[in-house]
Amino acid sequence: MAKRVVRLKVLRQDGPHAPETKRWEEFDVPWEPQMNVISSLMSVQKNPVTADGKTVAPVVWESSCLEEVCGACTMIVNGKVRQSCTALIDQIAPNGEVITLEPMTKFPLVRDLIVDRSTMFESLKRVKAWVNLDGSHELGPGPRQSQENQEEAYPLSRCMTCGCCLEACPQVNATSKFIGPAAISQVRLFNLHPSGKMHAAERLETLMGEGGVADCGKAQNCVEVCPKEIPLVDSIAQVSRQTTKHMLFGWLLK
Amino acid sequence: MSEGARALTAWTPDRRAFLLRKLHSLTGVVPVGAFLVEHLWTNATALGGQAQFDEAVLGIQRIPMLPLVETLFIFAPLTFHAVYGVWLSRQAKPNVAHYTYSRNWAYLLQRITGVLTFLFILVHLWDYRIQKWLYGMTTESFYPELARHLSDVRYGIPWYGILYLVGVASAVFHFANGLVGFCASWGITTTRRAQSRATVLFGVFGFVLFLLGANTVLYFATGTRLYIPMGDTPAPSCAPDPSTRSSSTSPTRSPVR
Ligand code: HEM
Ligand code: SF4
Ligand code: SF4
Ligand code: FES
Repeated sequence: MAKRVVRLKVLRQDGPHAPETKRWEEFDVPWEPQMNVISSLMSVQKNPVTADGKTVAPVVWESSCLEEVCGACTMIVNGKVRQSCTALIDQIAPNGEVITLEPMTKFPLVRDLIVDRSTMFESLKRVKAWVNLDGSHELGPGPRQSQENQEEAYPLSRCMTCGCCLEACPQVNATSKFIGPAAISQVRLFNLHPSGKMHAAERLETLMGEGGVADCGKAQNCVEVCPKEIPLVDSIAQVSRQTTKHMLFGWLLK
Repeated sequence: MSEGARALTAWTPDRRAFLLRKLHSLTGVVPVGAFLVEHLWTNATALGGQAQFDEAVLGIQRIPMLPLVETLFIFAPLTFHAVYGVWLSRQAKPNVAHYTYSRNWAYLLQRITGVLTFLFILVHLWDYRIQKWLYGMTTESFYPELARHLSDVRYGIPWYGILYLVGVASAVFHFANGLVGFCASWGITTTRRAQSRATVLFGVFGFVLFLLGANTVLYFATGTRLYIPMGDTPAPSCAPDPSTRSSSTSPTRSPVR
């Protein structure tokens, strides 16, 4: 019996400013039980020879936790964005189908499967996705958070800034300035927090700027692809309600 | 590869885009959406025959300062919504090939029907508004003109009737799906469940509105009153009948067609 192999088809590019090196390369790697996309990429790294026998520079990618909690390994697997560490070969290619791997398209490319997701981090800074501390002195215990409040907040806190939701969102692209669903959901999270609330208006005003919450086109792809099952559509609608109120009555409350 | 990627600093706290977006959303419902419902409703009076239709049209003609009212409450908001809508549509990067969810299709269709509706409104305005100005088409000639126009068959295809059916369908889809979006973007439906309930509600509403508009088109095209039997007034004939011929022939026979 011939040895079972896994065929990977990878979209490669040598660097951010080398679009002319963009190409597809195919690799056959030996199948192993419990294999996932990352372990098959490790095989390519050990033996970087394409299916037609050419030795090439090994494919580069990012990964860290290997258990879908860090988001580093996010890429497009068979046309859909997801974490590649939990993309099990036996599930995505049960009959030895070709597996296509591409880098995300909504972030600047670094090389091969690596992209630079700093825009997401900048967005979090922009919306002040934190609870402010106004000094290092003892402030006493903070306000209590109700059970109900905790239950609403916990799922939102699971976001790992992986970028799946931005990748799948038709409104996030080079022609728009839309901040994307992840940061909007974090605004909901920190506006819920009893201390974070104190800066709610500031966060809303950021999201009422250019590329803010109003740019959502209600396509709901974000919530479909979020690996953490974060209720992004609910968050966007919640924040929309908050901005509507702020727009209509904000000046009264000032 | 990263066609979708953009620079880090692409953002300003300018409030203008937000307010324009809100205005776009609002004008889609009132007055433009409200006008669409009123318009399809008025047109459906044709199912009761020409007398009833002319009566309804005259009722509108009697609105004081009609040109001003029309400009302020229909043309201006519609033009704004349409022009800004085309601009917004150009910003979309649809991806239904890979993400085949129904809401993603609705997102794409919202943009396609927007553009289709825009084109249809231009044709429709030419037919019954611009020619009215240019050639002095009278309001009583609308009814026979519509009957002649919509029943036009070329190469065995009632192409004008089909054009109008498509126009009505796309306007109605755009409005009904737009109402779902409106409820989300103003924070009226704040959960996904509430939004899917809104989808069902406005889906039914849109379907009924489409039946109403489609029935009128079908009536002018074929003379059948499908689901709304109304008395036994004679169906419109494809050629204008002698009583209306005097007012509707030479000046209104569209010289272009
Ligand atoms: C019969 C005339 C029209 C009606 C009744 C109408 C109504 C609406 C409504 C109610 C919305 C929802 C607003 C929201 O999402 O908050 C909407 C959205 C939209 N309309 Fe229209 N509209 C009409 C014509 C047009 C035209 C001619 C265009 C031009 C392309 C257009 C483009 C758009 C676009 C792109 C959106 C989506 C905005 C978004 O969700 O981001 N509309 N429309
Ligand atoms: S619902 Fe809004 S944020 Fe989510 S994918 Fe659609 S357009 Fe993007
Ligand atoms: S919201 Fe979900 S998909 Fe988006 S970045 Fe966070 S974890 Fe990833
Ligand atoms: S490596 Fe952390 S999510 Fe895959």
